[in-house]
Amino acid sequence: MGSAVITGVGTTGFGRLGLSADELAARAGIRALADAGLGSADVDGLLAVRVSSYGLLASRLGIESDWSLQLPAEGRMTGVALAAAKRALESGDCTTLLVVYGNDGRSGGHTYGGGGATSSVAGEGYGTAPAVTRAAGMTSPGAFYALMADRYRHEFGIADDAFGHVATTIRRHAGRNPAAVMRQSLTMTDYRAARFVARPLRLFDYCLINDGGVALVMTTDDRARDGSGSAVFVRGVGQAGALRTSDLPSDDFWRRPIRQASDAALGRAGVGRADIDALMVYDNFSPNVVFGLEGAGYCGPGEGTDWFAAGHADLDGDLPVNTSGGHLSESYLQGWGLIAEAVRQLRGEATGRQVPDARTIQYLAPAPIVTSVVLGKEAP
Amino acid sequence: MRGEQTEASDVAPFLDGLETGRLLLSACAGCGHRSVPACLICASCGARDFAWMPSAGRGVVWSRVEFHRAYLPEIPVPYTVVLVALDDGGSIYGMVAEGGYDQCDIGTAVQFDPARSRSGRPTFVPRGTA
Repeated sequence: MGSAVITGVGTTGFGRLGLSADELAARAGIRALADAGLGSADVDGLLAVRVSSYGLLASRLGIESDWSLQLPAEGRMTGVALAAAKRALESGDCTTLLVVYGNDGRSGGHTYGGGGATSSVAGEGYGTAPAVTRAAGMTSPGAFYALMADRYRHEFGIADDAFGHVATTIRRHAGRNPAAVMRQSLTMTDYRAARFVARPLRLFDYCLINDGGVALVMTTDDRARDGSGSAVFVRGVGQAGALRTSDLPSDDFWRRPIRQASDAALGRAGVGRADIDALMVYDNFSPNVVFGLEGAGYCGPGEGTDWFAAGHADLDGDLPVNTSGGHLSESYLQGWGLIAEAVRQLRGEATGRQVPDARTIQYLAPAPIVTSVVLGKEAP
Repeated sequence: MRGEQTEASDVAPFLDGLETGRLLLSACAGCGHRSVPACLICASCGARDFAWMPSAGRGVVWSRVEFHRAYLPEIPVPYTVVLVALDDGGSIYGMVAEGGYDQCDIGTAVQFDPARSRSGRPTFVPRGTA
């Protein structure tokens, strides 16, 4: 059947766009199809994320899908989606799959805290019982991460501003990405001077809230059109759960499930950590990047912030991290922007921020469902 | 539905308990594992029998967060929420009365405050000040 590949990528602009999630997803879908050199008649699979209706997307884009799936608007589902897409293609359930994602969080006034019409339980507080958490004044994903950040500070004795090294590094990458929403310089002084949102987390520990869409065209390598050399292999996927205890912050910063998911993705891809040329870590909040690095074994427990300060994650470091500017500074697209960035890096199209000879890139998303995906230029 | 009992709430006894100044957690009959919300099958031992049991309300701060953004209109900022590991089992989120963030660093011994918790907000105070 062949191996799953990404042959088209499409993104919209990012920011306050005044467009619906469905419209953003559709526009990204059109661009991804154009990028792949395909028309909607070529597509027989549709995977829709954070849109109101897969049916509406299929209808508007003229797609007749024999394999359809819609997943909820949670970032932890991005790796789940790619795993499902890979299996659908490699099993022959469909041959050419369009993945569409749209997010109107900025125009829609999403707050990620306090409840409201646009909230989901998982998006609100990471607990399963909002009545219990809200009674104690506990709300928002950021506060959940603040609890873990303060615990991490306590266990490892890091400085109060240590997570600033993550935020400032990723902002430097964004400064070299014309598509990024936040491109101006961010110094450690700026970081420290910013207001607390949920102490110990400050403003720049938080991701953006913006509008945007991402789409991918996926098929198998035996069907991918030859010549362009632009097919990117979805080499390996991994997933692990920490749901049974997700009413409370993880007491090991998800180290166990991160390692499990990461090792599964790397193992199935047939590569090791030393083969990874760049890392895309789900940076909803700066501590999550550190949890990911440490959990996967790229550095030891408690070493992540020093690792950033020492420049390892820089574009000319030994493992560039979130080269687009990530969720913290490019755009909050719940992992899909990081996947698009990985594809562009592997195609050599990341102008201004290209990782030289990038051949294998790992995506890693620590959360109560941990996912990891290894993408590469070569077949697994 | 025929043959089905009324659905048991996994959180209502906890919320109702607060109003009478009690801190109730669901306790597993098999191993004593405590949680809110209640489980149907114990995450620790797999037993299926639970009862809502009062906690003595003593514990230590596992972590803390100080809210500066006002997500909840009913609570003025700044305010501090702690996650308390209770001495008699289980963990619970609570607000901190007085002092706040700097008085409840991780490891601080705290005590459930029944009077303040009757407002419906589980509230803790540093031990020795209750």
